[in-house]
Amino acid sequence: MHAPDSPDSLPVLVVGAGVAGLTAALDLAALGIPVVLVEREGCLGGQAVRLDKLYPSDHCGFCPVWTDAAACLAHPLITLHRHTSLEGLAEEDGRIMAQLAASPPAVDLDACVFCGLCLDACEARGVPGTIKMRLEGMLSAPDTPPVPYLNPVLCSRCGECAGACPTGAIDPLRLDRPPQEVRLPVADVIFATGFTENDTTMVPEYLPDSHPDIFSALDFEAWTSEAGPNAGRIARRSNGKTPRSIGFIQCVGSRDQRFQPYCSSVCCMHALKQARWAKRRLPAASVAIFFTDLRAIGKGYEAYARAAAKEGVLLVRSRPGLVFCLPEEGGGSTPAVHYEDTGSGELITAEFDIVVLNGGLTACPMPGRSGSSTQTGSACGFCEEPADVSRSVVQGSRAAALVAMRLASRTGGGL
Amino acid sequence: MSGTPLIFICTCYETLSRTIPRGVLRTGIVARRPNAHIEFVPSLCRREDIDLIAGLIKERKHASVLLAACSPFARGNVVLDGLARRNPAMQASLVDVREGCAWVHGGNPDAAAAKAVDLVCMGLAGLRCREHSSEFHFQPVRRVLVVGAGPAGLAAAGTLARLGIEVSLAERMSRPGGLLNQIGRLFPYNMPGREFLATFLSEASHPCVDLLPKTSVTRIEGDPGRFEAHLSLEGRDMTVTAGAVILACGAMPVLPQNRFHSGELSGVISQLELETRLNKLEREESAPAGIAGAVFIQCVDAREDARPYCSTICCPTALKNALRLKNLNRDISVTVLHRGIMTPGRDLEELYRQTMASGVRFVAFSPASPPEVHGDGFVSSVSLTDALSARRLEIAADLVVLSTPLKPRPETASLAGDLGLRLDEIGFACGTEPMQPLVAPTPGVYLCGAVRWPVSAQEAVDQGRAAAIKAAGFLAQGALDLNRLFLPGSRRGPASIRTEACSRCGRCVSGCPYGACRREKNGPVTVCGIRCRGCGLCVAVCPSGAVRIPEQDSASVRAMLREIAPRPTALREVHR
Repeated sequence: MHAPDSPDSLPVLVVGAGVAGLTAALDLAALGIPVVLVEREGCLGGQAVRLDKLYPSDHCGFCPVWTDAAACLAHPLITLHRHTSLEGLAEEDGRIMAQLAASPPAVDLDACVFCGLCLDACEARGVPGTIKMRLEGMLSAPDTPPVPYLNPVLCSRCGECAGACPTGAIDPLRLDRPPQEVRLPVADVIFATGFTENDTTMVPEYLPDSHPDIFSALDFEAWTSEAGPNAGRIARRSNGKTPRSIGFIQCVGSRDQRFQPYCSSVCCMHALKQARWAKRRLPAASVAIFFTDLRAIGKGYEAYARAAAKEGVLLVRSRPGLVFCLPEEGGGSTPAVHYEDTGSGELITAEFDIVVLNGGLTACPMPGRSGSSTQTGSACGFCEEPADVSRSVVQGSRAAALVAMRLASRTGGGL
Repeated sequence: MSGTPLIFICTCYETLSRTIPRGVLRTGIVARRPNAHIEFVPSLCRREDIDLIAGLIKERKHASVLLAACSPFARGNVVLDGLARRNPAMQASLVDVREGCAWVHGGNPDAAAAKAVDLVCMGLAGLRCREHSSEFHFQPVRRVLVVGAGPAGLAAAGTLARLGIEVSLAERMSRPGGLLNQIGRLFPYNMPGREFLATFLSEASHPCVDLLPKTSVTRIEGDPGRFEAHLSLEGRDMTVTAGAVILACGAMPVLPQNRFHSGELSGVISQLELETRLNKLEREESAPAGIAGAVFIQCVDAREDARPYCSTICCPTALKNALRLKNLNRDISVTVLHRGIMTPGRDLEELYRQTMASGVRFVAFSPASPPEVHGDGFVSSVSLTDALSARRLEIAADLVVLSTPLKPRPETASLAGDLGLRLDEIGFACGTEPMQPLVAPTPGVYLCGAVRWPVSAQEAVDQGRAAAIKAAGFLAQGALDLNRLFLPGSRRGPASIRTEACSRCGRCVSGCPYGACRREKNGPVTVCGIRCRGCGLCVAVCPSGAVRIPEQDSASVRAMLREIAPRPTALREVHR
């Protein structure tokens, strides 16, 4: 067995605590290999915990990911650094040295006991509203009561909160401190940095960001989430009314020579899921998906697409040319989609109270990936190849297996 | 050792006392428990606090401790877990008097205090009746049985061997490789299949790997950690004992029977047949003779009501072979008739672009009006309605290639019962979606490759490695990890059955979803500790009250309820 206490056993660095990174960390730790898990954000679970529902099970995204995140937090061999990113890798004396940058927030959630004494102190002496108890922080621990959040603009740096805090968890001076450089010798590196949503302003013909009822897919997910601002009710962002129709446009900024030639691979199913849930919540609304190829190819995905069609989701094989705004009776405006009905060749303009743009997702960078020698470093999840949750966790385990094999060959035999 | 628990009440730096004063809480508890040992502390969750109370408990010789503090999701679990690590034998319990009392009932301090007293007394009652499950022995056999030596099984075996774990690799056929043996080139990089296979064959030829060709698995018995697999090696029976099982028995191609005049018109062939022909032509470096036009028809026998799924790999396979045809002879016109080209991701989409650039034509059709194949003895043309322009097309063809899906192998269903596997409506095996797609519901059983869902060769080996590390992790587990079924710090063991109370009716045996309760002939019912998930269904169905989950025993729950039941008025006051 791998001896975790021996000074020679350097940890494996896992970059990113999304579903791929969490899986890789847990699989390595199960073999007795120490892991340092760094996460740029304060919360674990990456993009998956932001999803209201997962396809094809229609389960909420939070619980299954939470279980793994909690296991990572509790595991004695996994050390977690939040608010920390990898800057680069260097080789020193044949060892890999990871250069990390830690930017701890004003409130250290590992030390905070959520007692609210900082809030009282701030209200008495500071600028009102500087400290707020926010529920968003609940993803960070991964499930805690509302946590104090220090607004860096309002804060006068008077230090009253730091004086009142019984555990030394809050320090407004951290707001101004530059990121701390940390150098850490590691045995190997697993990149699981995930993806970000593309800037949809790159696709001007769809008027992104110009009308409150034109959403990006992840915005729409947050807007309609059961834990979101409307508690699962679907409403127009412009006037709060219930939409009569919702249109999903696929391949926005992806499979497009201008921006991203490849397919993001998760958006067809993502749109099907959002469309099904929209139809369930608003049975009277007309819901349409404009797709290029409806790529529902994973386990159970085709059945999911068939169910969507059966439930009345309109599947239109067309790539709309234009989204524009039409004035609405009684003021305001509503988005309209101009597209070719491929069956008849007719050009159609249809009004949609909500338009969701779905498509371009960009892999996050993997600092030091190319510079390091080929003998180390494995990538998994979306940053390696567009992947959904189910594929990302398999790739996370695979990356862990490759690293474990390399470590075993270095020690000459099994772990 | 004192039987009375020590009570620690965390005032959270006196913020709790603003709503529930110490004195009120102490008086309330002492009124109902005159002998209670109560300690107020300003904090419990710092490392030094946990050290301190662990020391106090040891010094005063208390067997159990009740913590009245914040929610387990705030810091409560940190304290419980810390205490459990410092003193594994100690019984500790946590009640939430901050979020659940002081905070939510902040406007009604009396009710908050009454509820806090109730919760503390309930905690004490629960602790008094709570039992500890006995440690169970888990020493898994450090050998894994891998069923199937296709790319997934080979990669799994090779990975396990390099982690120092013995492998029995059972293969139905006389040589390893599975379906990959028939594939000449792999998408998306056109890598020779033989070369790809060689890598994994050499990885799996390792002293730790026992390759058993011409071997089928007839039956698997035993429990996780010690499965007994009965194998049949060319009619000879043998047994392998393995701690874990990886199912990698793959899938099989559907043959296009009577579809599009296959078997009736010469020139209508399956994708696999084309693969074989291309392999031969490429080996001989000759061009395909007598072919001017080839038409590929996708989704044959797939994505229909009879077989309502997409087999994932047929589109990239067709693109790869269309390109190979074009590479052998530029002048052959190749048309792919499809219902959407399924090439997600970066590399496959690139393959699609390359194929289009090479001159391969793509025409979409609707399942409502499928293409028609014409000919007389020999195929001559294919006609269809282009779904994108609604125009009728007639395409001359002397070769029609039918892309058919993969379907589950019969072994999947026959082993599913023994391994406690769930199958989907098509017959592919299911893991634990979404976070553990390769992990079967039974501990120690894993899936990889096309047994779960059709996959490319590359994805099969990736899954093989992933399943291997899951199996290695399972074999490295200790009994302690398994005892902690869910919450950190709260040990929860498997169900236990009091033999003297058991009527042997067998309801728990049929009711257990994990196959943990079992009865040997007419003997008593026993629980397999490693299979038990502590779900409690057995407790619910037992008519004689003989089954218990020790840490969650109904006696302790009853005792807790009795603490509040005699005073229903008080209860109503709290919840008013």
